[in-house]
Amino acid sequence: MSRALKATLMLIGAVCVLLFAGGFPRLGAPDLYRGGAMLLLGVLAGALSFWGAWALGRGMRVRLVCGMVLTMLAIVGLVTLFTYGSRAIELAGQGGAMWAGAVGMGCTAMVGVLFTAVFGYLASRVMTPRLWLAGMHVCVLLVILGAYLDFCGEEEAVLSLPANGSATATSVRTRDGRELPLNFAITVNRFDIHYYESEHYSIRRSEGGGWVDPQPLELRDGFLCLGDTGKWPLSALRTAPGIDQPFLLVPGEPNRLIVKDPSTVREYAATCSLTQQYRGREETGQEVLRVNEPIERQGWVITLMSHRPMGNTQLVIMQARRSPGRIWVLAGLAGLMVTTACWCWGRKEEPTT
Amino acid sequence: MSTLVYTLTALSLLACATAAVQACRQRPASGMRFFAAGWVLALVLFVVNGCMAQAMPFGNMRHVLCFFPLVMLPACLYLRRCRQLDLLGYFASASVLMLIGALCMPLQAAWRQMPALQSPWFAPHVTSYVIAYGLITVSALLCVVSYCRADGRQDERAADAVLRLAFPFLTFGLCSGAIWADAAWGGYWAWDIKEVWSLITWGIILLYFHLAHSAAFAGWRRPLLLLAFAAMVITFLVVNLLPALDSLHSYA
Repeated sequence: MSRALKATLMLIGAVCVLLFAGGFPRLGAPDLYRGGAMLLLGVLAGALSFWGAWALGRGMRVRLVCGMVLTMLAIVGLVTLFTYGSRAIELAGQGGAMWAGAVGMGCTAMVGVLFTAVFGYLASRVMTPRLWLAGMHVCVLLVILGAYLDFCGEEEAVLSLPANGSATATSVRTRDGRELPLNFAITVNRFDIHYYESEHYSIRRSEGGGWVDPQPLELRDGFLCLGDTGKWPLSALRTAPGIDQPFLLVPGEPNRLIVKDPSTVREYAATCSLTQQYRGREETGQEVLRVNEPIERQGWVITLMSHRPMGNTQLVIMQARRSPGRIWVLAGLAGLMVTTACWCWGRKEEPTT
Repeated sequence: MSTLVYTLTALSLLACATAAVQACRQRPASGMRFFAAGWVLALVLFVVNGCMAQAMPFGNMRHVLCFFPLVMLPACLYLRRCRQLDLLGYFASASVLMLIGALCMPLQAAWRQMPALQSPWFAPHVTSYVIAYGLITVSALLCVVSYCRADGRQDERAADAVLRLAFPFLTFGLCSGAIWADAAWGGYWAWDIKEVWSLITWGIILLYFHLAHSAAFAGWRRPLLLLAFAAMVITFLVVNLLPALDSLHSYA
């Protein structure tokens, strides 16, 4: 057994023990994961991954590099297919003139299919099971490299803007108080929240200044029923300024309240106006920022995190992040998914030394 | 509706249990028929759950546990056809374990998909983890049986083949979760407790595969497999069921 393999075994074991130490019985030591021991183990893991890829690719290193490039191109095709394919479906769903855009997006998605088919086929011809295993090591190295780049150079800040277009942000303030320019201006002009339909009601009792112990009520023939012990007409529920849901103080029992349960948020979206300089001119565009659909601009990724009421509007809470290692990590993760599948499920492994 | 859900779960459980018993009695054809019946019942249960949730029924632990038998039969048939491994009894037993869990869970019919879960990654992420966890369970069962038998090498090899089938699904789940988190939470890794435990599970299986190259550590492989199963149980169940744990995955 080689010394490097022994070192790898010890390293993976040490990483697991360290993760276990921080993760059991509950997550109480996030600092442990960003501490010196983990950083050192990360460096060692990167070095051993590189060594693993180097050793496994012995005699076929050019082929390994070519195979990995082809695999990455196939992944780019796959990403293009999904990104533009979903946009094409979205635009087609809007109908009308949007069909032209949908067709354009669809054509780009087809290019993605072509990329995936051609480069995927070429990669499968170039790579052997041993090279897929080496490719897995390369992908782990990419993830570690990206994580270290982020550890050293990531900038992250919370960006809160009212949804009525009254404020514009051109910079963000990080947690340690540094002001960083965004190199573009962002304004939130509109905020939309959609709810699921809710027809659930409960009865609660007053305790310590709050309404506690909710008991679900059943809606029967226009009446809200609590088993056979109580029955109240639904039409008796009223709304009041400052109270979101219809309610009823139970007649004769002021410490009991019937209330419509709050509806669950289905989705929310902020319509943003983004202004940036392009060849000495100001260019303004509209983008819809949704959960799961961040906006990328000038190296910053703006993610919609949350919202809360502010006067008669909503305060939209976003995260602005500039991470130099993000692309490396994402490429490594995508590559890891493909190479692992090809190694485990591909042709039978040739004997290794 | 709740009566229908519990009845379907119980019937599917019964069919899978009978399939396991028939497999133990060396009646594979009859066992496969019962397992197929269990699969059909699980499919109906999945559709009913989907109608009640008005979305892909992966919203809570019961939904996910009810989905397990659906992936077990195809995996069992794949291994029989492509790897010449007849593991009907193990797959049926693993399905029984999952369905017993599903019967113990509350119904939570009014589950609604929150905004962060409305992503194209949702279904593939959960499905890949369900397949991986199901296969790891089968692998662990084989490992336990290999300890009980005088010559357990054949079971050990079967456990290895099943784990090799599971590992890409586990990797896909881990990586797709990170890519999804990058879009939803603004960062690909948040050191959330569920993430940490899934990484521990992945790391232990990685260790298991590295040991394949070493005859000196051959005896360590089976304990490591059982350790990976234990880590998987913590990731899947303990992290979500312990109320004291704050997790970004608390909806799962």
